[in-house]
Amino acid sequence: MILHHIQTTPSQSAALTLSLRYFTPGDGLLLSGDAVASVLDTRLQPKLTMKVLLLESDVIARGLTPLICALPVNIELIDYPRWVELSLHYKKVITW
Amino acid sequence: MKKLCILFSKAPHGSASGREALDLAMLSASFDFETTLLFTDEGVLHLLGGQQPELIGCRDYIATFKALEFYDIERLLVCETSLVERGLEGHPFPLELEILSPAQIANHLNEVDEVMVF
Amino acid sequence: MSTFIIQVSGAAYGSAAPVHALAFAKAAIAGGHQILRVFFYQDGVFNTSSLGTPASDEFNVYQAWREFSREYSVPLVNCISAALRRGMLSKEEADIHGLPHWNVDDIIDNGGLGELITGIAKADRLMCF
Repeated sequence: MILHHIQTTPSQSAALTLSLRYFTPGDGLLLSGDAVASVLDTRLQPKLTMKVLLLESDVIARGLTPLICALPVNIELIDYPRWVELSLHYKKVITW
Repeated sequence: MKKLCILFSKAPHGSASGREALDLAMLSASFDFETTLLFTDEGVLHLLGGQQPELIGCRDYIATFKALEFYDIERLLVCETSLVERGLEGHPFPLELEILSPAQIANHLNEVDEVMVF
Repeated sequence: MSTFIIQVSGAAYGSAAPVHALAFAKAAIAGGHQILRVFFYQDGVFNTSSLGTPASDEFNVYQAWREFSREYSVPLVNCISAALRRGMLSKEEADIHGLPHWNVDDIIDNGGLGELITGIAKADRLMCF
């Protein structure tokens, strides 16, 4: 039960690729910062079979809100209080 | 004491990432944390023999990997997929390594208390 | 109530990490939790500059950390070796090294990695940014 926290896109680092490699059912995936735009990557979308948590403020700040509605990815927008709760709900948080 | 896994995911010498990861690993072990090192992605390049980092103005922290057992760090884990991706499966590494599948690595990440990625 | 230790590796300018770390820390406190300390490692030590001067209409993360620390009594701790290597020195360190200038004020504790490790030992959760 790990919450995988990604801050960068696949073009910036291997963080998302690695977290998906070691992801097991029951884990959570949270994208913040530039990483929120990773869900737009059509090559990546088939691999995002789990629910993907996006930090809402980063989505809004980048003007991505209208783009993420119609994606074939199960997305949940979260705020900071929810992030705090989730970080305690999971057994640990790995920031990749 | 807690179990800490220090994950090396960046190539050596081009950034301070690996060196700062190693500093933390040794300190963690000196505080009696059960410390494991996990090499993945380009981090596996730390494990190659014959490196001469002084040639490019870097400190040879690679030499320290050979002495880690004296710091009570006994387990050096390596991601099999990362080796295969670089044609390094079967490579004669100068260190004693445990090569793990992604599923085994996921198990290890679940077992330890905290993971720090460098 | 749970306790967190926050580790910041992202630079003050050019990285989103410190802004996220700060907002997370405030949300944790608002949620009734405790932040044991904020530990700056790698390029995170740039957050401890007392000379960082963003334009007046920009968010000042240097000041924001200091205000956060004062308001909630959360210690801000530098990894001293990471800081020294990046030219982040307190007055005391500048004196020791015979240097005429310094740029890290008293609100920052110059600790070692040991403070990160003891923090991890004590806290319920480590959060890295």
